[in-house]
Amino acid sequence: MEIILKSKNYKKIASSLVLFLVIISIFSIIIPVSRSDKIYNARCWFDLEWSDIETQKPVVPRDEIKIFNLTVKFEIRTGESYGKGVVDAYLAVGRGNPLIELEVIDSSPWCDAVMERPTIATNFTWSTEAKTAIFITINENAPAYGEGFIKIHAYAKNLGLIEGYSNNFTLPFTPAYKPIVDAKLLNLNSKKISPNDEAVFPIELENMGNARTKVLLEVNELPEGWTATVTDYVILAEQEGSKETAYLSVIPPSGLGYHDEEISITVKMTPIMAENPEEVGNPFYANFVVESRGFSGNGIEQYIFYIIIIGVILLIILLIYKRVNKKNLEN
Amino acid sequence: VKPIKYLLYLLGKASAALKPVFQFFAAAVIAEPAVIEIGYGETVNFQVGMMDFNTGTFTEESFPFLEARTLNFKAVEYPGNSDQESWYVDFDPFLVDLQSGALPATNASISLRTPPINENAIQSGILKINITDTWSYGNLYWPSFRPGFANKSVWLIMALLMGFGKYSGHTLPEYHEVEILVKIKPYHSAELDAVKLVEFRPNDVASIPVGITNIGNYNDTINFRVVSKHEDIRISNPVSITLAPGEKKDTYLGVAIPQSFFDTGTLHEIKIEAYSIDDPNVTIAERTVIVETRGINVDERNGSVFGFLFFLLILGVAFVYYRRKKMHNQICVKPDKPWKIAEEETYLEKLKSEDKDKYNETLKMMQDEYQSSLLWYRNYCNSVLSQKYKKKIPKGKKLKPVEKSTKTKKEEATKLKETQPEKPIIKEKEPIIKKTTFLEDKEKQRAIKRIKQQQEKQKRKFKNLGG
Repeated sequence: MEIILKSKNYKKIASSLVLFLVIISIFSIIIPVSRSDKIYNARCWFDLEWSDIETQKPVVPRDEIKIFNLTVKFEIRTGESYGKGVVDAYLAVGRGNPLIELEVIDSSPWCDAVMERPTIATNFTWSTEAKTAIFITINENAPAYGEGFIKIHAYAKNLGLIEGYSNNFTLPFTPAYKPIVDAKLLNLNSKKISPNDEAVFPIELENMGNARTKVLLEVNELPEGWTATVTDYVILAEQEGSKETAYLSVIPPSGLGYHDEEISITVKMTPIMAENPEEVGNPFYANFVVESRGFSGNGIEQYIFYIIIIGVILLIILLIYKRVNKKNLEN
Repeated sequence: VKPIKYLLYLLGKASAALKPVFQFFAAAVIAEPAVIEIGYGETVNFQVGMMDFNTGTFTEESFPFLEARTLNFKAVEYPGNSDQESWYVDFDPFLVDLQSGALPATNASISLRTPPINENAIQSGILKINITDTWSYGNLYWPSFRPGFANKSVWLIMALLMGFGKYSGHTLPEYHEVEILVKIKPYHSAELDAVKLVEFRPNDVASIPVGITNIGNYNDTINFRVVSKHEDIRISNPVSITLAPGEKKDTYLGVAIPQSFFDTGTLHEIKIEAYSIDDPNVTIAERTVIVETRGINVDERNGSVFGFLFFLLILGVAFVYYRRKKMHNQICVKPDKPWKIAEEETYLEKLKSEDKDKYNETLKMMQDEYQSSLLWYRNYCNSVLSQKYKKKIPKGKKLKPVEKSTKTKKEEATKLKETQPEKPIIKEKEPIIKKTTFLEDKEKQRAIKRIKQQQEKQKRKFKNLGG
């Protein structure tokens, strides 16, 4: 009888316990988890960190794959009671990994960015860290030293009874200077001139790069007697397609006598960033051929008028002398 | 408060037991590596698949509650918004059966084909791969396997309470997208247009337009090198040029041909090599321009020399002519044109108005007479001069009139009478004593000649009157 009673009590206890568990289970499922932090006080939290030194280094357009290392600092934040109990229970079982999804949701239009790992699985502890990275490349038209950005949406799904977390992070970066300049000749690159002439070649420069650009121009060494001067520099505005014209002026030797000389002149053009002279691009060249041919009086031509007058006077004197002489002979 | 807190703590633990961390359906995709660099004509291999949360890599997994699980891979978006023609993405295998114990990943390779045209140059971008993860569930209410953490009854309760039992017998696909950053290596390439044979004259200076197209994938600044064996030709390299992908522009090769007076046609080969300023050691295009020099060139210097020589020649000829004329005049007076003599002119005019035929006849006769006397005059002068040169008279010495014997004079006169009705008056050769006397004599001779001509005219008039 006693055994029967005991077994009956045991069954009651057992059934009550099962019923309790079922009610709790139903309760935990029915209650919206998104609001559980206020009730249960257990949720995920994380932060995304990167090195400012890395992001401040300018990214070279076109030629560089920039890697920004990211550190994900993950925490489980709870209150003192229920939430702590939930987390302790999960930690005791040791199942599951908090999953943090990282997604690039926006970026500068001239930039492509990809996460190294779109999903990070951290260890299930109160506080942990995980490493990942983001790769970016930027196009040629990225404005030098402009403000680039990558907006990352990070979120963690609910983890059992622990509420998830989401946040947006904006990673700033700076595009580097990429000088691209086009040189166009408005006339041909060859000219035939006389020794007293001057050959002038206009060179039109167009900015196809991503910043205000100063183009330094210099002429190679010339043979003795030749003089060539070129515009020292031109400054091209930042907007793509802005143009300026430089001029090369070549003066041949003009010593007295006949000249038949030709030279090849090279103008070296080096683009540098207008605001930062240390940012220097590769030089490019424009070449010209100038031929100087003809007689040069070396300034004697201004006396020709006087020489002619003297010559005429001498001729008249000679004629008069001859006539007088002839008359004398006849007499 | 503490007992309540503790009670809530216990409740939390109990709740956790009833709602364990359930990550059956959690999945993450990765690509290894997540960034690749590729050039035209190159192939790069990578792996793509499902990541294991514990290891962070691709790990074999068994799924006892699944009947089957497959992964299907497909490239859905190519870098730089380019089309499939430019890329070839291969998955080996493209369908992975995970139940056979395979890794939940595949070996992929991506190839960038050489673009046929460069209007749509491919630059860096993102390759998107779609992974279809297909799960075929068995009986999830009462599984054929024994769950590790609970008996089948508990599993059944959980399947009912947590709702995963409803998937029993279903095949459900789940779609994942993985992104790979693809950086396209700068492809420096250009095409130089063919240049027709260019003809130059010696001493020309000209610019030859050479068309160039950027068939690379980025804006490129192209420099040029010129290779030529002809050192005498001065060549300036074409001007550096910056071109957008697919853009074509003309640049100019400056050529100065050396001076030569006459060139029958010489071919000169000039080889143009183009290179990118970013990679100066690699020639990306080359073209040979053939220049032919042909023609005559007289420049100012040669022209002036020739002009001077011609002037000297003219001067020499004029001097000879003048000297000869002077010598002839010393020997004999040149006959005048009869119809130019004033009296004859008046007579002819009169005749012209009266009798046209007679006028013509008379004029013709005068002309013949003049021709005849001119011939005689030349012959005489030449014969005198030839005799003079035969005697080798020293240069500069004045020519003395030729003294003829009486017999010779008579013979000549007879001869001339026979051949020519009239003849000019022969200048009487007298020794020149002094210059003034000679001039006076000359005047006298002219006067005598005029008188004789008038006499002749009168004779002809009489003849005409006589009939």
